[in-house]
Amino acid sequence: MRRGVLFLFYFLVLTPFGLLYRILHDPLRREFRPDAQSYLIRVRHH
Amino acid sequence: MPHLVLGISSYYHDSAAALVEDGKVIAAAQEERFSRRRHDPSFPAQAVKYCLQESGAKLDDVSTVAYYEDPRLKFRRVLATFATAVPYGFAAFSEALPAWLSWKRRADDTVRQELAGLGLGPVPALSCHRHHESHAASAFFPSPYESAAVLCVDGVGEWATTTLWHGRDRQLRQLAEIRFPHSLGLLYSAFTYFCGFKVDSGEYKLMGLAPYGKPRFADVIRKELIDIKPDGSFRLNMRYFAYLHGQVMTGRRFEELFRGPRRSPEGPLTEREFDLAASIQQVTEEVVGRLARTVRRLTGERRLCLAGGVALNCVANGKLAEQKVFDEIWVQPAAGDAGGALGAALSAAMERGASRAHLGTGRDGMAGALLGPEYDDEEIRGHLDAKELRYSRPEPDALVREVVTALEGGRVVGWFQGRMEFGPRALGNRSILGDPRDPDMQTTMNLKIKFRESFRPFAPSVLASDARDYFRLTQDSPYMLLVADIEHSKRVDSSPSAAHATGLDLLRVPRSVLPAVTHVDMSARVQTVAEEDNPTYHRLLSAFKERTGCPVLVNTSFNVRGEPIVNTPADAVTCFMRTDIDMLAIGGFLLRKEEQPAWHENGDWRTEIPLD
Repeated sequence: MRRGVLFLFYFLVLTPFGLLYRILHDPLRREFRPDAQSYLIRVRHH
Repeated sequence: MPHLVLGISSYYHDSAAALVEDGKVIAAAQEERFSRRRHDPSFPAQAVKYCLQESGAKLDDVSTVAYYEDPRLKFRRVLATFATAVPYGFAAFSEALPAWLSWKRRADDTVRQELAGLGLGPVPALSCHRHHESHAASAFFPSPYESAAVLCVDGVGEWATTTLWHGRDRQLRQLAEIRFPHSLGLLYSAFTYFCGFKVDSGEYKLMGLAPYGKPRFADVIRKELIDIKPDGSFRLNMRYFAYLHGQVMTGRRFEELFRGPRRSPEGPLTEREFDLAASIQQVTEEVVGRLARTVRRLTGERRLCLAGGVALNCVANGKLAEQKVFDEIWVQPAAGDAGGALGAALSAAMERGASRAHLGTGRDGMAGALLGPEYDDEEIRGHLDAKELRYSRPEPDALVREVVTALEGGRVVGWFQGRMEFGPRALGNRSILGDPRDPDMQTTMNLKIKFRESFRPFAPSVLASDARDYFRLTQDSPYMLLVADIEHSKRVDSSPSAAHATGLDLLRVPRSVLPAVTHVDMSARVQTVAEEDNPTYHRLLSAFKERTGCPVLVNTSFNVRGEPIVNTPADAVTCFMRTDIDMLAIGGFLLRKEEQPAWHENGDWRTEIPLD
């Protein structure tokens, strides 16, 4: 039962949302060899 | 009233607890040593109880409990990963999400409940510290440096996988980071998995395998798998990795890249695994070296502190020390997640104004990493009598003499003394010892004592004062976390035919006057022993040197393959009786195998210990 609910949620809700999310803004920054000098994310201190 | 902070790491792997009093480390231990389950991820109830018992405190004497990561931030990373791994990640999603929804995202609440369940009094306030903050604190605050650059590299905690810090006195300032899924630790684990070893456990086997191979895949790795920038920052090509959407590390594309399927666990090791190990080791060293230069440039510091699982790669550490990017490096002996408990506790303590009292003494604040339980002779005797074992109790000097005689005669000795070590290495209190000059010692210890793979090297303990005569060390290595080459004067010429040996045949090639601890590339994972760190072990090494002229012993952890290092006298006696260890020196007592009655157990113990 629980697996069925998770299955429906995953493919009906999360999949379209996730695909859109990834196209608009990939939080994991998966692009390989983008145009960048460095991949270090500098930490700002306030 | 002393200010006590209890640090806890749990629910991933290597759960641990640590207790810090006014900034001084009082006690620290991994749960696996008590539960006898290797890399135990469960709540460290027994480690917590031990830490409190060691200080004589109750839970309500503790002012703060510090947890080693931020579960809510970690949950956001897990959600973002699930959301963007669609549509391939359903199996992992359906398996992991229920636990995340029910308790993992509030792991700190679970810790509170578990602590309350111990019945040790009211639970104090709990603070969460980010995973890499805990690593950085464990690296810098106990280090002997007033200020230093700090580099933390691991698999992943919340988002960060690599962080650069500047430590000054009681403050740590983060400078930069690299975020998940781009992770050097996970890259190394992917190769560990692909070569048939267990992730989060077999990485050190891969490191040990590297010298048997040639780095012929290093360029492929740089071209296809990882883009390394001049400052050491990197990005992985996620097309080749399966850990975003599956419960495995690598997939079909990875197999195609290296022309064949993953090696099956316990399957035969081939040239390909040797070369893969050598290749990923070379790439790892390159990244760590570049990151070290970057953090040196950013901080201007001349000393470096290291932590995170990748800091247990003592070959990379040794190369870093040899390259002299920094004048000196200090590696947290529990650099993996167990050390997170200590780092969280130290971080909380420093926030509350604790001091680094060890500064200025010339020593670090880890007490030789001897922070675990100790058992007195009466407890030990009680156990030996209960098991009806035969023992003697010589004077301390006589005990050392008898152990030296046994070692000189090629015997293998279990050495159980004082407080248990914190971290993955046995440093001379829960160790199995042998004569490093004996050419058969490595095979004997691997196959008859440890029941482990024949390719695995053993480490030497050497008197700190003699270390440079035997090893090309640029600094002391008290925690066995630096690899150094054998001094040229201690090497032996091998026959011309040996020059063509490859793979595991290299094991049979004579290499040095210390064959049992000389790896096939002439390196050794050295532990330097100073009297002030471990007087008892130092006395034994000194006596061995006096008798034989050799200040070195083989030192391997007191356990068999797949089992955590022994903690109690009962664990030690069981390991002694199950294996071909010839003698056991436990506290003030000496046991000889040939004098012991037959050892009976129900069932085959070897089938009960899962292979690592």
